[in-house]
Amino acid sequence: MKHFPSLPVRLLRMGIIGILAVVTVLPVTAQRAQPSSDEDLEFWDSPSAYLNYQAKIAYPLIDRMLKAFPPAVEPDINRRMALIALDQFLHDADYDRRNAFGTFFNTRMAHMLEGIDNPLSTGIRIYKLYNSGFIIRTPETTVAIDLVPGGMSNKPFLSDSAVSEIVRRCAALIITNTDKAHANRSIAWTFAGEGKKVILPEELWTNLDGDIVRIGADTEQTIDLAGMKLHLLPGHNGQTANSICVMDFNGRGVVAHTGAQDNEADLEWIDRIHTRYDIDVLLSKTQSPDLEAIITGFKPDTVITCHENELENTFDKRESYWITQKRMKNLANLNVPNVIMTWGEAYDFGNSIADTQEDTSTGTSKRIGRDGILYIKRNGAIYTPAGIKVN
Amino acid sequence: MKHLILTLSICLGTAVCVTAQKSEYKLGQAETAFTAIDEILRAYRPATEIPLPREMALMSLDQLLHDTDNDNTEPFYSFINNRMLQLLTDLDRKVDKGLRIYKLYNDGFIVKSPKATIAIDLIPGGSAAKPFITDSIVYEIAGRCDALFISHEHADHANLNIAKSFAARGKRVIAPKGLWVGVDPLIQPMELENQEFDVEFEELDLTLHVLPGHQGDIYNNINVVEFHNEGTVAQTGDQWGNADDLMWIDRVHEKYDIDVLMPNCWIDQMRRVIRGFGPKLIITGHENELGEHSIDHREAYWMTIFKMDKMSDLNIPNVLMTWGESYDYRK
Repeated sequence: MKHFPSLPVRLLRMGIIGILAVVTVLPVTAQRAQPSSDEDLEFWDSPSAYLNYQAKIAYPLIDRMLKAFPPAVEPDINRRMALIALDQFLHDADYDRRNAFGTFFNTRMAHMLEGIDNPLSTGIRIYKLYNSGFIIRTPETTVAIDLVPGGMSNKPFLSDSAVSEIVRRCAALIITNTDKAHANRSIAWTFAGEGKKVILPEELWTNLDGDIVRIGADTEQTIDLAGMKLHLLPGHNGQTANSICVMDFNGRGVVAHTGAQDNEADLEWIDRIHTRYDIDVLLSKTQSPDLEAIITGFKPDTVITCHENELENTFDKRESYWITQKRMKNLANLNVPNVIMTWGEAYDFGNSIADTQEDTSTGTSKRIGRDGILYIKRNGAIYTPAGIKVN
Repeated sequence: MKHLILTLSICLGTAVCVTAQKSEYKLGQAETAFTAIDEILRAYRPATEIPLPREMALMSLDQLLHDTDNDNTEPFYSFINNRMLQLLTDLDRKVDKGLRIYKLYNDGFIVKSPKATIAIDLIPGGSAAKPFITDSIVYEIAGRCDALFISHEHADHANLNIAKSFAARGKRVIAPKGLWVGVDPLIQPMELENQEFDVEFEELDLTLHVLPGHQGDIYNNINVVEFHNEGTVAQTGDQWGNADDLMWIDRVHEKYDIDVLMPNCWIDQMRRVIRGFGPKLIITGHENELGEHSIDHREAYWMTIFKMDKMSDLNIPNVLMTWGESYDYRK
């Protein structure tokens, strides 16, 4: 008769075998995680180590490409290549690959902060951040909109130190809606704590103290800020309030940001926004189901899309840059130029218009640059972009 | 029970739907990426210094080819066939002086001189039912070549249908010992064992020097092709793991003046082999072998860049090519 050991003995044996297996396998796996020498890259039998190392090489390469080929209205094949390569790596099940992505993101933010203090004498500079976040800078002011760190609260993409650097340079933070993809408590508190103005939906963080402006739902509001006039239009994301922001930078240009706008009924008044404001740059989320109607309603000079590659989303909902390119190509009939940007990049609007040079591209009215400020010439009279007659 | 079945059905339906969306997304991404890669590769041709966009395109290609979701998909087939069609068109371009070297799938190369065009280790890739390079393209390529040299018997280097296609057109095929014996008088497996030998191609103005290499215990012909007055190329097949061979490989440069060495990118002791051949230029082969290989052994272009960069102290330039590309070499 065969003798079987008792259950505790069997469990003990299994435990010892398990520990031995872990002790044996772990060092081997760790050894394979990196090549044995720089000259002898070998990943045989270790696909995960291969993919990690590939990402470690690829992200810096993408960064170099993006720096060499910056945002443009007509991006050449080099820039398109860089963006689709980025899409490829961000649509990997493990996009981070042992923090290769984290390093990339930090590098992109470092590039932005390196250049953010460069003097700006004319026009508007627009920096793109994570999701729908932007920093908008003119010679007179700098504001942030929908600034969120991304990632997890214990491991955000945007580091606390980068947030501090951004807050130090901004006069105000504007939050369009309550969705956490657009609103971040920690960042709002940092702004308020530094004495910076925070403009946010009225029901959001009611205990936030400081220089706070609360925006009521379904009410139109205009706020005077240093260097700009902020028009808040009562949009919606479904049934939730969403402020569409029209930022008039006192002659430097007018920038509109649509937040998380997604509501068919609102299109009725969005259709006519261009009759009230002369929008230079429209910042709109790429996946908006009404993108065509929104662009038609705003009639901007340039569209900059946002909210690509939201990494908290599942793979299929991480809107890629190549899909934005296709989308915008399909809207080419609108004749509105577009710029596709990624994190940490800047695009200058209005800086290239020489003083007193006339640009007749807008048809019935003419855009004029004077002393670095854009004006509209209509029926012989000169107006600011906000419609104020200056002569 | 009904609730359980309903819940399971919903879960299954959702999973199927998400998988389908993911699959559709990836197909679209692959199609867009392959198109961009092709455009970049045509704009930035192979050179001893790799411009940044070309390096990016090769990295993007590596990423696509190391994602098994892209295996056997329409965008991949379209890409590789398009590259082969470009090669086919380019093969008709005359070489006035020196050598034009084309890279094909795996370790396949075509070398063209003013007087001859030879193929080495030409295979279609993929499966017999669905080859990467279609039969019609392979047939056209064979038609433009004058001879085929095979390094060893493995299917990723030797394809009998292609050999027969050469023979059917009256072109010689030089194979390693024991391969395809008696198939066709023009398919000529060498009979010498572990000995170096020469094959003259007077009409092509070239001499083939076959060096008796091995992949482990398997015969692996190292084909040194001397195009008289134009240059000499050496293709090492899958030379691997034979210490005795390394002893004579160390001295190859004493006997032959090698212009271009075409080693397998994962060759054993690459630095020693390069020193042994002492070439003026290196063009690696065998990157991104798909098919049965798992992703950890689909040697990437970025790995070759990395390896060659580490050997920059040898002061031998290298050119990294992908499928269908060519590089003009002059002495």
